[in-house]
Amino acid sequence: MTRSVWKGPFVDGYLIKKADVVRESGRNDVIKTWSRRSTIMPQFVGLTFGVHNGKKFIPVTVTEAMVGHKFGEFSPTRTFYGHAADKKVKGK
Amino acid sequence: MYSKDFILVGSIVGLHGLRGYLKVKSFLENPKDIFKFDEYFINKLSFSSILLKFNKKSVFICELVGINSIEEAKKFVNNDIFIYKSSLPKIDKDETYLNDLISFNVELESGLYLGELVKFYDFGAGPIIGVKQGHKEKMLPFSDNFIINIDQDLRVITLSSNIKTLIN
Repeated sequence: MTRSVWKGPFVDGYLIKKADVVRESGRNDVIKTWSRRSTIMPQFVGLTFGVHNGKKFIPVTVTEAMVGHKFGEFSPTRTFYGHAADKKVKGK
Repeated sequence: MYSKDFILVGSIVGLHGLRGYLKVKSFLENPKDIFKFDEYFINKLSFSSILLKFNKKSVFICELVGINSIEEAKKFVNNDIFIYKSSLPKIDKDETYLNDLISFNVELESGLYLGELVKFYDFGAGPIIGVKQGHKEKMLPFSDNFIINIDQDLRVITLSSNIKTLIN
């Protein structure tokens, strides 16, 4: 069953406080969190979180498209073997 | 099996039908680009092209030139597809293929050595690098916000000190 709309999205309170502190400081610090159950809120866009997957923290850079999803969706708990054969990066 | 002049672009994951068709999984950013190259190396054999027959879910059903029976095709199942690295599209001077950054040293702007880059990940929330020091692998963000410098000559990637919280 889906969550009732009247309750609003669930977010752990401490996460909102941490995000506010980082946003106000102007630095782009990574926020460590174990709260995989928290919903990604619009005010998190642009911030980077380290979401624990049971073993280590996976960096999650929040974009607009991720709003409404849970943090846990972006931090897989099982080993992943991927490839990046032809992906590019701009040098600095 | 292959030297550094080659690059892995896909894998043959199974058979399809009785005519020797193969299921091909592409590892490229745009999966269909796998059909654009001039020469492929599979199981120590060279092929001039891979012919796409049709798509099936996330794999391509393909035919290898000269392979017409299921018996011949079986030899290629569970083999990787390589191409010459030089046949990848040309890139701008300030661009680098991520694959070329593997084994680079990673350090913070403060000079703290973090380890050697061993792997790239993408779980849908920005590019991530796997950095190994000893037996421990750390995952660090690899977006423009955190990359300070990539030195191709010294083979060093410098990251912003903002990721300090992920290191401890």
